[in-house]
Amino acid sequence: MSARAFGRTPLDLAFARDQIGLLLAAMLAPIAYLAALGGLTLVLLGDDERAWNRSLGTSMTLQIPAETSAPRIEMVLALLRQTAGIAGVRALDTGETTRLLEPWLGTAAAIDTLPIPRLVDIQAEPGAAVDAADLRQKLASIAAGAQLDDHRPLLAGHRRSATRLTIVIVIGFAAAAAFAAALTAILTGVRLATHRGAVELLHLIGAEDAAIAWPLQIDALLGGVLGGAIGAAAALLTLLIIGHPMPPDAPASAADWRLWGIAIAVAAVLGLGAMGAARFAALRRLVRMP
Amino acid sequence: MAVVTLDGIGKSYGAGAAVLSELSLTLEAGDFCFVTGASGAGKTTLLNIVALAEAPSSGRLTLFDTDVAAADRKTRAALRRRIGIVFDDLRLLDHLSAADNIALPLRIAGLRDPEIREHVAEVADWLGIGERIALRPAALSPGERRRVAVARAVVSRPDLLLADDPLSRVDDETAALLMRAFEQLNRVGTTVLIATPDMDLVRQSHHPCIHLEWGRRAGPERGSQSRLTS
Repeated sequence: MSARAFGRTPLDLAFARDQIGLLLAAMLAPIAYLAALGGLTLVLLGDDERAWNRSLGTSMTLQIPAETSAPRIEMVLALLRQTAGIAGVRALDTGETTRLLEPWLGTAAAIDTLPIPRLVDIQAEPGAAVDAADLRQKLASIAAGAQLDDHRPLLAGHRRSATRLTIVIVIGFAAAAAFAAALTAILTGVRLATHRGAVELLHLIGAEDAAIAWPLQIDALLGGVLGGAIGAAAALLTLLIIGHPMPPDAPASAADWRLWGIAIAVAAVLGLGAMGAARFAALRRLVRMP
Repeated sequence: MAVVTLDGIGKSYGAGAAVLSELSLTLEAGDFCFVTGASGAGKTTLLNIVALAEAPSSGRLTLFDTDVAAADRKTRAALRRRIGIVFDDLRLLDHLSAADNIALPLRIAGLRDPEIREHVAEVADWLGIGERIALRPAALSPGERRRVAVARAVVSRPDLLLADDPLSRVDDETAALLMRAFEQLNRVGTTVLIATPDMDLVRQSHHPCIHLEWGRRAGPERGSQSRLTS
């Protein structure tokens, strides 16, 4: 008599072998690929946003025209230090400014002959609402032509974009889940029809609906996990090959456990989801039998 | 205890003519009864209704003192496990060996493999197919396939055995062996209901029978009418 395989029930052998489980895995793999890419993108998007927050979330830059006198520059710095919400003020020296301009002007240019504005790095207190418009007015009254660049509106725009992308990915997840569930339900119906003789026999000799559905659930679980693993592995590989889709300060790495976590989670969720969908579809059809 | 009680059972498919009409019957524990009639008389439909394979269109069916119409699906499955069925078309699973086919009711009952092997070997030897149970149905003769179907029906020692034309397309030796098996089962307490068009078989037996014509009980009948009618 046939031996029981791991995770199998005694009624498994009533169903002749078929390729529907493999077909399910093959059809779920592309869904898993897209879902895993979405999940991985969310993780990297989070990294990216944290990096932007760290560098720009509390930062402003002030440009003081080159012709401004030293006493006025000192007055500007004093004003900034007294302004509520500002935690730190640092005037960049000529060397630092030159290094910042090198990517645009090159090393050959005689930068010290140019009217380079004096740059001041301003750090706001986290969460403080500095009134940039009021500050600009006061600065202009001390140093005509002073320009205050506030990066926070830029960051807010970036956050809005990230939020929209997250929503699109989450909607994509929902659509992929619905499609995978529908696909599993249809293939479960096909399996029940293919093995109709065995299903009716088991029903007539006393098997409960859940017992008949169980082998179909296990096959859907295995198909889902297999398809999910293939799709997630392909997504991971894609990401590692193309690298970080965002600015390259945090490249995607195989050593990042979160990426593996996403891949494993996609395979597990797809497997369990397929199992649930198969159970639902099977019980819904079996209940029609008398 | 009444094993089967049919009270005014009717069955029709769609707007077509009734296959069974106002059929009443009671089988007590240990009864052995034939249902006879020509093809289309309603014998198979009657067995299907008692086997819970079909729901009656009207009337009331009680199995083992349980009103089937009021029973939930788990209870109906439990009732089916007390019934052994020999189908007219056998319904053997071609991809399984004879042993695995016979073992199905025991697997559903949750027995372990050693017990299953023991029971299957015992019933296969009893029905003369002990040497053949490793083979698949396609490798067996028609008579052997029928014995496998009977073995599957009786392996779990059911309280009620339903057999739909169990001796058709078998040789005389197999027919005699299967009838002896049904008699022996009946003697140890199994209620037996056999549908057959073979009047010779009924005449050779001392058991009561009911005769169906166009879905209704009709004479001639034999046996204790007080037991066979409600």
